Amino acid sequence: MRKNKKSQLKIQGTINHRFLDLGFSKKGQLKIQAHKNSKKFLVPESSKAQLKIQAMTNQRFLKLGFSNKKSQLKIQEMAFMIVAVVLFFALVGLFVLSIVFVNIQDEATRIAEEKTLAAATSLADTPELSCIAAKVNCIDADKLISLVNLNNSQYDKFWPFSSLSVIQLSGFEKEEEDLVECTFANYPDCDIFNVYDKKVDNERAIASFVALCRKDFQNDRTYDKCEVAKIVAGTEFKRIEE
Amino acid sequence: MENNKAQHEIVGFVLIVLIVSVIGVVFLTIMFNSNDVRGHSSVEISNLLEASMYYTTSCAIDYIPNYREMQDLIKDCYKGSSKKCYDKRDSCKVVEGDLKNILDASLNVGETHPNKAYKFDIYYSSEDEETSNEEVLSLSSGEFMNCSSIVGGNHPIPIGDFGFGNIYLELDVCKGSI
Repeated sequence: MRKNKKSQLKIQGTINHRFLDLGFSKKGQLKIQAHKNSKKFLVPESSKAQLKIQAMTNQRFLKLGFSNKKSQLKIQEMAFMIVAVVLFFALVGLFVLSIVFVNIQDEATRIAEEKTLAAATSLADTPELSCIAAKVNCIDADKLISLVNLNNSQYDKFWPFSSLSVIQLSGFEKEEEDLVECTFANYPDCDIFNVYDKKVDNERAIASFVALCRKDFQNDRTYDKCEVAKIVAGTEFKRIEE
Repeated sequence: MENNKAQHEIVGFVLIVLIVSVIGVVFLTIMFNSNDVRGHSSVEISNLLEASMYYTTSCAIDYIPNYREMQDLIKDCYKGSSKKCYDKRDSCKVVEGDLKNILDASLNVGETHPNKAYKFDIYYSSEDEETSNEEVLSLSSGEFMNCSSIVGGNHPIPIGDFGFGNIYLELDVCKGSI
């Protein structure tokens, strides 16, 4: 028992030093010691086992100060690495997305242009509008004026456009309000042929240049008089309901 | 001391990764932005050139109203001054005047307009790669500066009559920021 007590005291001494190292106050150390003594050292039954447990706790206390700092460093290192890796992948992701979206935008523009071309060319080459002479992308003005005077009754359902008009070269530099509408009375001294207009709210106009030809008369002879015109086809935008 | 050193190394590594990434992003952004100004082919411009070739000029050959089409008059202009209009005007002058009127009216060029400037070239190109292109006519309007994008189009006119090569029309338009 005496030997045990001596060894207990030694261990307590070492514990005290370690507590001092860890930064506990002396009062606090004494309280902890008293608490430990009351629970473990004053009980004579399992003193050997207590000693073993104390020895084990001592070893933990020995390592705790140094290992705490080391693990903190490891955590910091890990955190920095995670931040760096996340930032790196985020930037790589942004780069890849920008490339993908640039391609999508280019593709959309290209498709829109192709659609415009297809629409305008197909309109100019339909039997209702095409020139008699073998000319591509050419509209016969004499056919057009007869379509204008149908008063929106027949062709508004024939073509997939919400509005259709052809502006002559004389009307290119005029404001919309100043354009003179073509009728049988003023043809060909006019600016715009309004074939039909469904008057929809949300409309986008697609325009393309075409040749506009008509038969003219001079010195008792007829000839083909062609000039540049702009065909304007409107398409209705369907709004997505919110 | 060792711990501080390790921390500094980690911070340094993170900073290097950040700096390299930022430099990379800036470089790529500049690269992609510079690509936007390059010339793109435009269907609208090609259609304008095609339509203007059917334009009936005021130059009559032999008698009135046997007016020449623009594409025929351009061929006459390229072949030389032998073919003059009925009223003795030079075919090249008529081509220049009529094309300028068409392009100015169609493109509506101006500093405050969507189209800031245009450049139009007509040249002959033979099939032979060794022979250089032969300029027929050149027109321009406005200043080709600070374009948000450049769109262009071209149209070939076959020479015909046993001749080789084509006459090419090229039009580039400088788009403004509006």
